[in-house]
Amino acid sequence: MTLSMTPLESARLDVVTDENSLEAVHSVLEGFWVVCQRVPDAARVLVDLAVAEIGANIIKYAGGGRPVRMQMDVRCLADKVEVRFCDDGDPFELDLDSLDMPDELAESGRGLPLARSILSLLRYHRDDDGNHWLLVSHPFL
Amino acid sequence: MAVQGMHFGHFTGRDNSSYVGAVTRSTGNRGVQSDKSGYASPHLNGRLGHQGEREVPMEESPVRRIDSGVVVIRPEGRLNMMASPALREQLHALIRDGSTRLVVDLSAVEFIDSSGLGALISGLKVARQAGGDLRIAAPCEQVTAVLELTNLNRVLKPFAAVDDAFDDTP
Repeated sequence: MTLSMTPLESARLDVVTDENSLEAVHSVLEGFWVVCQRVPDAARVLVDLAVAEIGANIIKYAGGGRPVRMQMDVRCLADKVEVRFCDDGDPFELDLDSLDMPDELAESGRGLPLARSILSLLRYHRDDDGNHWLLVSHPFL
Repeated sequence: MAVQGMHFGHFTGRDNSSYVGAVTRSTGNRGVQSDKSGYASPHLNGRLGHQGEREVPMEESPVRRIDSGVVVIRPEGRLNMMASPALREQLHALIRDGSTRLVVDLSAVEFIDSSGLGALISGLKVARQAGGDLRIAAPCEQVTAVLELTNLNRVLKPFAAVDDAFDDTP
């Protein structure tokens, strides 16, 4: 039996968070789309947005004002994009499934519900290494 | 020293060690204030716009007044967590100074996230409280899509052009 491996496009970011980290998240994704051109624009827009929301949440909150180490891995699978974040910050304690979009005139609180609504999967778990987020796009084929 | 790396490339299977290409940077750190975060600890160390005791300047967006007396503000680039506080503050300052009819010209904004939406909503609320209004014009496809995803196009109806935004008022 012969196994053929299809190359998977990928990108990685490894930072200690600061005021440049969100820009770095955007930059990594920009570079990733250059490598992974088969993802349609409509899917890219949603992945860009979901990643920015989760990345911003980690950068802004996970350290409680302190820097955290944050790693982001982006992979393009056969028909979807998968993004994993890992950070060594404080535990995240909200139930993602219970987050609703706030009132239309609310000034905050949209990020996580928005990310969840545009992904096929948004999952969080905590272990000894810290916080782990998994973001999976909807299939684009 | 905080060191960050970016890697782009291809790998096969599950071993991420075969990433190719790398860029490294050295960076500083800045504390931020938070709410509704979902995280366990208090978040009281600093705020956006400061690095420790050192003020970090936040860029202001260009502003112009058009014939009808409406003030147009034109942010650029990404309206994300880093840029949105400055826009919010600038909108509030304009309204405080009497410019209560505002158009946010989004033609140079390439990306918006929930914090950018929050800044626009904040400006809208303050403008209306002052007897005016805030309207948005010329959004790109990404901004239009995010407005629709959040249903905020109902309260922030996008106008095609800046000059159209207050056509319904004297």
